Formats: sequence, C-alpha cells, structure tokens
Amino acid sequence: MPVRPICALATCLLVGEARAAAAPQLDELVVEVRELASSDNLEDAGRLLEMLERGLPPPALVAFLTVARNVPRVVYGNALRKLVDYRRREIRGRAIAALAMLGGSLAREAVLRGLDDPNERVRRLSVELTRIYSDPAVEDALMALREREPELFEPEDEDIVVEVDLSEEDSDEEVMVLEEPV
Amino acid sequence: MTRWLVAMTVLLPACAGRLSRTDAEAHGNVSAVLASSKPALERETRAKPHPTVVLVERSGVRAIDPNTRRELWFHPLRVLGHPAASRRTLVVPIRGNRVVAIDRATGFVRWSVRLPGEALTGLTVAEPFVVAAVTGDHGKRRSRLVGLSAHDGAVRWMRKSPGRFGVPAAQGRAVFVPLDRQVLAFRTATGRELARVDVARPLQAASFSGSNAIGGADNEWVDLGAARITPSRIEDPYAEAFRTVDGIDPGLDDGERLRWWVRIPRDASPPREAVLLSRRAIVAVRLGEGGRAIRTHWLYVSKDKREFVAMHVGRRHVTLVREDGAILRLATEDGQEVDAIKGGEPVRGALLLDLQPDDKPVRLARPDEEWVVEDVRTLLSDGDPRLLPAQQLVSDVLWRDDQPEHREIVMALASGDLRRESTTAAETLRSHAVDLVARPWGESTGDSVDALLADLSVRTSFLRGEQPHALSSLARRAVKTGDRAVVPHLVAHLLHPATSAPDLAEVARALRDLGHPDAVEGVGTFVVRYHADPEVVYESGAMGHAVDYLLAVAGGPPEAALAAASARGTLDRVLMDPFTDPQLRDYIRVRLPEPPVEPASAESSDVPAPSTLAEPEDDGSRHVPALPSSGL
Repeated sequence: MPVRPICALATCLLVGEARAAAAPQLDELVVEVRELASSDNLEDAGRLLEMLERGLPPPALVAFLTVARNVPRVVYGNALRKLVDYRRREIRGRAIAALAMLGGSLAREAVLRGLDDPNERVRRLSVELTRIYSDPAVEDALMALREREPELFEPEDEDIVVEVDLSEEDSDEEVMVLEEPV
Repeated sequence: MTRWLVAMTVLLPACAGRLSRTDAEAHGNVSAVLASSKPALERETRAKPHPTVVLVERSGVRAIDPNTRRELWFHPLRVLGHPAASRRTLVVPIRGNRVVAIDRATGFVRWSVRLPGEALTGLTVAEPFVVAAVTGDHGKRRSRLVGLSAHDGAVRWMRKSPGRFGVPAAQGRAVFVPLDRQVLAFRTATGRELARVDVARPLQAASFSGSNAIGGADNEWVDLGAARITPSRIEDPYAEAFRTVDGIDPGLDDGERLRWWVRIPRDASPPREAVLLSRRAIVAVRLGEGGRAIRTHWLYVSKDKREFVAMHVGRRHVTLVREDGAILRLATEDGQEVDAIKGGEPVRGALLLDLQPDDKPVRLARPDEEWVVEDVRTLLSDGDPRLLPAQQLVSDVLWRDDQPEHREIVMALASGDLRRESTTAAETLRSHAVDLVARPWGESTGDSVDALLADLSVRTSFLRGEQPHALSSLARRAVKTGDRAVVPHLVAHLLHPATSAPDLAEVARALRDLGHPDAVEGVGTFVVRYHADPEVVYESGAMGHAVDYLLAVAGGPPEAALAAASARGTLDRVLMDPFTDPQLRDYIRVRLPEPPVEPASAESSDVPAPSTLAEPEDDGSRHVPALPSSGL
C-alpha cells in the first residue's frame, strides 16, 4: 500500500481547505460594498468611505460605482472624483457616469474630464452623458471634440437608450446601460 | 630704379609696423581663412613626423624620442617662456627677450635673435615663419606681433597695437591672435590682416585642436571656424584649459601642473571628454551639458609622490612627463600604465611633439565599473594635500551621479566617516563635501532643469492634442537632475490614467531613484489605489518601484520622520488588507523594516498580532519574493 502518496494527498486536501477558509472572499466583499452603498445610514457611508480610502479590488469598485450611479449621493463625491483617474477605463467611465448623476460642479468637472479622456469609449460615454448633463463649459469641450472626433457624434440608434460598453474586449463584465431620463 | 621702388614698397611698411586698432569692426570670414590655409598646412604636415618629447630642464633643453628612448640632442639653454615647434623647427625663448631656433631633427641651432619689445607674450611656428607676440616698447604701443623667417630669424613684418595681443597660433598660411574682444587673422608671410571676428569676452590665447582654430581664456574657448561663435567652457574650476597670459609669458611655472585637456569636437558640438592633470593625479572624465564633469572614466595617481608637468592625450595613449624627467604612457581607454622611461634631471615643463593626434573621440572605460569607484575611493582617502583639486573634482562627479551608493561616498566625506584626520587638506575636502551635500544632487544646470520641467509639465490631453514627448526619457533625465522640482510632475504622471505601462514603470523608477520624501503622498496614493488590482500590479514594474520607494522612505533618516511615518503607514495598511495581491504582500512583508521598538506596556502586550499576516521566518533561509520588472 503506497502510504506516502495518500498522506501527501490528504495533506494537500487539508492545506487546500485551510487556504480556502483563510482566503479573502471577494464575493462577500462585493455584497458588503453594495449593501453599504445602498444604505441611507451615515455610519455605513462612513465605513464605505474608509474602505474606499484604503483601496478596493476592481469588482468591489464596480459594485460601488453601479450603486452610486443609480442612487446618487453627494457624500461619495470626493471618492468618485478620485476614481476618475483610475487606470482601468471601466472604472473611470463608471465614476464619470456616477458623478454626472450628482449634477453641479462635480458633474461638470467629471464630464469635462471624460470628454478629454485618453480612451475613446470613455469619451463616447461622456458625449452621451452630455445629453443628461449640459453646461456651457461642457458645450465648448463638446464642440472641440466634435472637430477632432466627429464619429462619436454620429447617430447610433434612434432609440433613446444609450448603450456604452466600457468593458475589456475579452472580458464579460457587465455592459453599462444608461437611460435618458424622461 | 624699378627694383628700388619694389624694395621700398615691401620693406617700408614692414619696418614701420602697421597698426592693428582695437576698435575696428569685424570683417572677413575666419572660416574661409582657415579653409584657405589648409593647402599650406597639408604641405607642412607632409613632412615626416618625429615623435619627440622636449624636456625643459633648469639649465637646458633635452629632446627624447619616446619610441626608441634615445636622447636626440641637448642644448644648455635657460628657457624663459613656452617653446613652440613645427615639424622641422623648435623655437625656444631665452633670457634677454631672445629666441633660439633649433632644427628638430639634428639639434642644430639655426639662429638666435632678439625680439623687439620688452617681453614675450607667446610664440608660434608655421613653416617657414615664426610669429611672436611681444609686449610694448616705450609707452605708446602696448604690444606687437612680429613675423620672422624660420630659416634665418629675419623680421619679415610687424604689427603694432594699442591693445594687447594674446598668444598667437599659426597654421598653414594664417596666424590667429586674440586682441581684446576680437580675434584677428593675419597672413603668416606678410602680416596682412585677413579677417577679424568679435568674441564675447577678451581671450588670451589662440591654439589649434586638430584643424580647428580655438581662442581661449582660462576655462572658456570659442571655435573660430564655427558658423556661430558661441563660447564653450569647462565648469569645474580646478585647473585651466588655456594658460593665462597677462601680457608676459610666465614661462613653465606651477600652472603647468594643473591643466585641463579637452577634446574639442570638429562639428562645434559640446565637448564630451576631458582629462585633468592635477599634480600627482590624472582624472579622465566625461563632460555633460554646460561643460560639467559627470562621470569619472578612470584616474591615475603617481605612485612615487612626484608630480607631472606635461600631458598629451592621444587616441591610444596619454603621455605624461614627470618632474624627474620620466616619461610615462597610459592607455587612453582605461588609464593603465603601459610604458615608462626613467627620468634623470628635474624638469620644469615639456613639449610633446608629433605624438598621436587627439582629434577623434577616444574610447574610455565605463565609468560605473567597480574598479573605477574603488580608485575614486582610494584617491579620496589619500591625505596628500596636492591631490585636493582631483579629490574635489571626483567628489563633484560623485554628487552628480544618480546612483545613491556613489553619492554616499560624498556623504561619508561630509560626515567625517571618510578622512577623519584634522589636517587642512582633509578639512578643506570635508567642507567641500558639506557644500555639495547641502545642494541638490544631479548633473543638470538651472537652464536644463527649467527646460525639463517645461517638458514634464505637459499632460496628455485628447482635446488639446497634447502628450508628453518621450516620457520615459524625460523621467530618466529627471533622475539625473536630482532636483526636487521634478517630483510633483513625476507624481502627476504616475497617477495620470493616460501614462502608458512602459512609461509608468520609468516614472515610478525615477521616483524611487530620486528617493525624495516629497513624493510619499503621491506614491502612497498609487500603491493604495492599485494594491488589490492585479492588472495594474503586473502590467509593468511600476508597483515594484513604488513599493521600493516607500520601503526606502520608511527606513529613512530621522530628519524625514514625517515622510517615513506616512510611508510606513501606507505599507502597513497594504500589508494588512486581505485583498492585497498575495505576491505584493509577500514582497512588502519581507522587506518592511522593523518598526522602532517602544517600551513594552501591559496594554500593548495583550493586543494580539493580526492573524492574517504571518511573520516572516527569520531563519536565514526565508524566501524573498520579487515582483517582476515587467508584467506577468
């Protein structure tokens, strides 16, 4: 009876279990972030802001940004501004969209940044966001962009649903769907 | 009758000596004069070269063939100025404002004449003429330029000036001589003024580097053949590149033992290679922008405490004459001694003739070789006060280096860890090091930093169509400046989403190499923002460099305690975050310095250590993970 391989296998299983138990649960974090972001409680907002300050993995950031876009809250304004500089375009785009929903100077700044973004998809999203948020300063940037990149302004669809895919080419992350308010 | 008229026409102006005004306007074209003098120069240089070292001893002149080691001839002459030579003739100034011409090949004295005027300023020879600048005679005229025949010493022409002629340099059919803020070109045969060019500051000597005519004073020079006459200079003031002649040739004095050699490029580009003769030491350096030495290629120190009095830098060999008459040859590439001829009588100076030319770039040893740094350390440890100029130069170069371990040598000098003795020389060197350490390190000048800052301030903007040009290169240049003003720009590029992955790695590397505490907040933001994002952690080496920067700042000196605490706090937070990329966490864990030990208290002993982080095993065999320099 080969005792050694069996022992090794058992050890592997045990170690694997232990590792799995000790490994951080990303799904749980995503759920927690989503819940905190949806909560009206200021304590929850404070806790989420602290988590954002310490840095979160991208799926948790996406969860936060999705809720922040759907349920705009000014308390997250500064945290969202910082994410406008994130290296991943899907994070930047979502942060810009969430800020645009807040309106005011934060929205203006975000949309202006989005129109000047190095990534074409983020710029396209920002063009679509100007339908929601309009401002004279944004109009100037929009005109400048129209001169440089007229294809972004070609009508894509008569449908009023604005659909901008910010995800990576080869990833299956969610597609951002922004509906124009009635 | 006709013959008489011709003779009068030629001789009268020559004897009277035409006037060279100092306030005349520039005219003619010096480049064209240089070009037209080349055919005659080629005829001259067709004469077979005889490599010769002319040793000027206390009471004689001795010619040695350095290849055969044979003495060619000796004349008991008391030399009172700088000799000059062509391929055929050696002219030697002696007492009584006299000049003796010696046939180089045979040692035969051709002639000896007394020059007009009171004292010699300088001599030059371009066969078949000798041109001498001499100082004034009886008041009105301050100086003269005299053309003599190299065959018999007869005066062929003379120019007088109310200004002061500098040391002339002749080549082919033209002789160039500084006169206050101008350089004048004369026909060597007739003394006719061919051209005159304005220069920014009064020059004292003309010379030739290859076929380039150079006008210089102290450490500054202009290339007279260049389309635009702009001065070049050596910034480091430890010796002169051109001898200072204030009217009277001081002769072969102490200044011969402190001299810069610079290879002046033919295309008027800034010089890159220079060699400092500094008494017992020879230091070969690379020059950066603004003529500042930025790398030490090699150095050589005389082993027997004797000083060098003359140097010639050729393509393959540096030839040195020691004060005991010994002739040494070093390899130009690495400064290794390849040949030595024993000396005899003490010498005051020497003329090195027809050795290898120095008009092409020379290949020099890599300045970051370990043996070069070791030689520099040995030089700095030497207590001989005569080495001080060389020691100050190499410490300047070390402080301009972007490698921290090289700059640490200067810091050791400043703190007294190196050269603890309390001699005047050691204290002077220490004070020099203290001055250096008080200044920003790096090799750039103020102007170049301004230009770099302007380039670095460009941010990517799609709407304005702007993006920084060659950001990686800018980041590398930023490191070389060592200037803290570049830090905010580098941080901005580090955090800018448009910075490409390769540029990001260079920017982070630059911040790490600069090591300035000002960047702690920006680099901390980068690490905190992306520590749980594997895509960014592994897209380039940026995260590794950023963490290295924080680790270095966290273990920094007490005067940067705030930055150290901030860096430490960032690293601790990243370490404790369960979502930190595992490899990144391991990388930080084994490198993070131990926090300062605080007095144990009952409360603190009850607090358990965070369970998520295992302490690194300290058994000497622990695995030290490394982050990849490029993306995984």
